[in-house]
Amino acid sequence: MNCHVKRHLFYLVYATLCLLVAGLLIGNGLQPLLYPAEKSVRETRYHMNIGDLRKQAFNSSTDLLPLMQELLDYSGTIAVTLRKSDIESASSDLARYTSRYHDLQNLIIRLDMNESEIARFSQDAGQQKDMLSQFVTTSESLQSLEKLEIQYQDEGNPESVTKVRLQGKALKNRIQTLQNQYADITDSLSSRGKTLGVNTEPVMQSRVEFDKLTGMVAERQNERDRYTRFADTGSPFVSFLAVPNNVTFQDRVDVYGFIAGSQGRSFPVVITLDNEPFLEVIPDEIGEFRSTVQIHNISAGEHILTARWGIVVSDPSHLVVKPLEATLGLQVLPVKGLSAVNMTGTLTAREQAPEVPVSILVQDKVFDTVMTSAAGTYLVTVPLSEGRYDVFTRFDDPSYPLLPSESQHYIVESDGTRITSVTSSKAGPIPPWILVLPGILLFTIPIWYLWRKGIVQRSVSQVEDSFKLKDVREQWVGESADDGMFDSDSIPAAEYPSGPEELPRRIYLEMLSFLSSHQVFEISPVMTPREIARALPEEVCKARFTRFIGWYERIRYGGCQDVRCTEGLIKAADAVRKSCQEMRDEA
Amino acid sequence: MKRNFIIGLMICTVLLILGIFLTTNTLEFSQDNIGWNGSSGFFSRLDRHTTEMITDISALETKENTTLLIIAPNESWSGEETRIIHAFLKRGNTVFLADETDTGNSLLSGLGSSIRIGPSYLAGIDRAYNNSSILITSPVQEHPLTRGIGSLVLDKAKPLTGGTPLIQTGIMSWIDTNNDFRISSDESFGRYTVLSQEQMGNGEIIVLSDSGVFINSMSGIESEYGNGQFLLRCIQYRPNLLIEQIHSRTADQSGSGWLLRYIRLDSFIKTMIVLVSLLACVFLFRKRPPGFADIGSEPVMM
Repeated sequence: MNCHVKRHLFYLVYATLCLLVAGLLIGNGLQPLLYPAEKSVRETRYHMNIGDLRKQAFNSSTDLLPLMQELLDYSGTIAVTLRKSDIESASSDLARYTSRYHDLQNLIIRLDMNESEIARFSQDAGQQKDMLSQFVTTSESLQSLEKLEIQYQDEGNPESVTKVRLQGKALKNRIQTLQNQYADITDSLSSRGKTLGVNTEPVMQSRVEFDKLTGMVAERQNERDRYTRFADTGSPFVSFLAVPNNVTFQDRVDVYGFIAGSQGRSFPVVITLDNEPFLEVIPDEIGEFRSTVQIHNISAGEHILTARWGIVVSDPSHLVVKPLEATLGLQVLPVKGLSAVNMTGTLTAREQAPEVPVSILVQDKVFDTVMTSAAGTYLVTVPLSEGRYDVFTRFDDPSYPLLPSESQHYIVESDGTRITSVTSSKAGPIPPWILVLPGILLFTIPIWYLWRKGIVQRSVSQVEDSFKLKDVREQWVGESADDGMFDSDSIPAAEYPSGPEELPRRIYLEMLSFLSSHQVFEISPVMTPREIARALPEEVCKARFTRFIGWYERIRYGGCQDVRCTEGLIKAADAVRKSCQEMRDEA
Repeated sequence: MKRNFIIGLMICTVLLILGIFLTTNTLEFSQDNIGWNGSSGFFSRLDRHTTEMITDISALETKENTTLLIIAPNESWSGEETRIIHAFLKRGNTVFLADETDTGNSLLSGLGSSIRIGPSYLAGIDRAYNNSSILITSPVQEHPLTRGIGSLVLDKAKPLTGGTPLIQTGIMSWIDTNNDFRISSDESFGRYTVLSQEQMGNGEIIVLSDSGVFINSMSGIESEYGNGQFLLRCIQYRPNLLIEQIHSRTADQSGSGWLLRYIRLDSFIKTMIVLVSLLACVFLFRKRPPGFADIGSEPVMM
């Protein structure tokens, strides 16, 4: 291959590699989420990125919001489940928590015991009182808790929980405290920042934002108070709100409202879907009810949601459920030692779809219908008698807001005792070219190299080259004999076999013989060609001989079997003979 | 000479970048994923003399005094596989399952264990960072696996039932049934088990309800938490460690990953590559005689 072609090929391959790497780098550069790490956290189904969370600090109103929200939502009660045997560790835990959240005002202690145990609890005053008093008095932090609530199970009705509750109010104070603390920190930061000459605008902006949020919290608290007052009197009324209205599979709809007035006795609030009871919610002490509905086995289309409280019904709320595209995966694995297969897979609709019926089909007939697990997976073992079967799975239940989906087909062959073959209708997971390409790279390149070196058998074209070489040799021997410079009879045929491979060696020996006779210096058998070249007294002859040995080494040690090499060697030898002869004649 | 050096350096850089792209991925839990949600960090900590990757479950049949580590399985085990794992347990070995999905439950029920993984994630006030699902948990019982560990941070763990609790959450934790990360009216505070152990014949089964402790982002966690120490205890729990690579997400691979891993695992292919590389080196660095262009028609001066 021409040297220029080789160089261009190299540049081409290198440029391709560079473009590939640049493409990959650009592609990768587009992947990272372009947001400030301190504001958002990368999250997958299984975990959150701790690295992102670590960068977050409680230094802005948005970061404080979750804490405020927790306190807001738990202005009512905080329940602690305690085991009788675990009081000691619970006490130390509470000490730790209350030192951190020392403004917690309410605490419910749900003792894990039933009514008769409560009775024994009170009878066994000595031990039990000691336990409780020990629990309360050993932890100083517990003394700061204003209220305790004890819940116990009714022996006759284990489902219900009887409560002895004492209420307390601390939320507003807590929010006010937080607001004041935040304002102090912001002012301090702002004044310090101004002294240093930095821009304190974002800090001040965050204070405005925080004030707005605390205002919202206070407003909501006032709203609750207003409804509490309203709830005591007046004609019965139920308000109802469901958001969002446009939903699809697995979306959550927040249902929310208030009841007001009196109906003689208490009723739960019943949420209805198309006039069918769907969910029961118990309003809290101020008449507020709130729950979340997950869209699951609700057909696609428009539905009407209402809240019913006793005899009163709220205004309807329209809910539009859109169907979602579903993908049904399937893997068929033979069961070892049995003529059966395990059919397993996942139903995915944006994410894994739990509790959805999937039909198992064998030869286009429904073999079984199974529900997907919480992780959206299903697994069925299907026994198969001798034969060839087309197996697949399908989802097509219109009572779910999911579009029908069918898995790939598998062809399963059984000989009656075991599964002999399972073939997917799709191409195998490994494309054939991925196997072929490395195979070529791994094996053909070395073979090509060895072939070039003549280690493996040569092709017919090279035999043709050998014939060409033979012609050259004959030409060379003939010319040399004519010139009287080379006596073909002087060298025994046995010493220099007549094969074309021996020609360069023969030319070289003849050249040594020529130099030895014409340059009048002794050539030692241990001298290398380079040493001989250096020993030549005449510069022109030396230069020609150097060129000759360049060709000779290329053929002898470089493995060049090209006829051009031999021709080059012959020409170089001629040039040596001529120049050395001329120099000698001149001398 | 200098030009050749720069070209060589550029080629090496290009090949290095290409190598990184071809040998890594972004799949969740994958041992080839060097990102935050991969497990490359954990796998690089393993001692190759005592650790073996299991790609054929029948390899368990001869193992003794060994821990089988199953991280985040994504598909269930067949009856035969369960039988082999059960026999492995009965011979006095340990099965360590780190999982928070139903797949783990299917193995546990198949093995006859009483331990079960709950359906909803845990949340708590005692958190390491600004999110209630990053829980600080602590050992509640002496066990070689938890010895010297003050606390363990978990990333979206689920509650365990059954077995002997080894590590539990603090008392102000709750099962976050509505996934809002906050305590709601129908959720109660309480201690929940996240690491449980059960004796099965001569062996034992240990279940951790969060496979996230093995991902890379957890390895950079502050040293005040005992996560690093816990991983070390898992690795050194028994003299031999087997890592399940049949159903585990840590074995997930994409693109050229399967080929490169196949090469890593197959001695013959590795030998062939070394051989071919050596041949290539021999070819590239051979002492070459002058080419046709180098040997011109004019005499060469010495």
